[in-house]
Amino acid sequence: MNESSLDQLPELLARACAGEMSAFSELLEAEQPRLLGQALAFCQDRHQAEDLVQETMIAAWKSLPRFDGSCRLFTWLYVILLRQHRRSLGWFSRRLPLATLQQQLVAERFEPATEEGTEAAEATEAELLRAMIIALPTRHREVLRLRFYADASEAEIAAALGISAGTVKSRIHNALKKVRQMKEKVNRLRRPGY
Amino acid sequence: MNLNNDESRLREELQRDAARIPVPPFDPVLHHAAIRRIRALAKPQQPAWWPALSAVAAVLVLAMVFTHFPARPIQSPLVKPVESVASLPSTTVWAYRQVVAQGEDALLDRLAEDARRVLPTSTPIVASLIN
Repeated sequence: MNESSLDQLPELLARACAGEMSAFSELLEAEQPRLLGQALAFCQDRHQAEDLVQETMIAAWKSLPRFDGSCRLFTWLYVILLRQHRRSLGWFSRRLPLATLQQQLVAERFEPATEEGTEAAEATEAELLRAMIIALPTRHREVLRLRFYADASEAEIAAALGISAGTVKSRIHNALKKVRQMKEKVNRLRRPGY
Repeated sequence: MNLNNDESRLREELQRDAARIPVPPFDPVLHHAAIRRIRALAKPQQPAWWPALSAVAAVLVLAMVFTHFPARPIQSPLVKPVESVASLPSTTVWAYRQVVAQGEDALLDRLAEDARRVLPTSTPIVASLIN
């Protein structure tokens, strides 16, 4: 979305909220690439990611009258994307034994002494970090993704999730603590003397 | 202090990972497919008459069936018709209390008598079984 479009954002939003499809289409056109990028990061599969973006757009259209502009449109859309993704995962989103398996697999094939600092090692660390985020409880996963991956402020997250800023702060803190504990566990797994 | 360092390191790590996620170019095919689906959902839908009509028809058919063929109880040939039981003088609790006052034998006689009146006449069958 260019600068002139940004100026028109409130007007576009108002028209879209009033049910004007062309305004909604224009709004979503600007947000689609970032949404698709995030969906690809979640799904690791183009087809599934496209489905997820489509479902997100449909859900956004349905609940657009409830969007009050208290956070950025992307933050609001990102919350919908997260929830659609969680719904598509179903039961596993709450239990996720997959994440635990993934951590073990990554830990087994990682050799820090020889590869540390290389691109492959960084990619492995990133994969591990994402697996840890997936393994978090939903409320923690949501705030971490919104804070770091959607670049939303704590106030924005509070508005988008309908919770207080204090709750957002404490959830982020607890989520980071849990990730840190997981990292320590994984480090112990790959380096017994760590 | 160490925990704070760990947390800020982790924050930086998350920010680095987020920056690593590529932003693909705009996909017009995907966008139009989604908009098409939304347009289809947004179309005012015709009220579905056929479920309501079929429900009304089913109710009418059932009403006709019950009007023309009223339900009759299925009775065993051994069981006496209900009408005959209904026509019998009902034995009241008061009557039983009167009989109890006369003694246990009187009560047993009364119960046997009432049973003969109310229950089906199974004597021939029982008799044949005993014999």
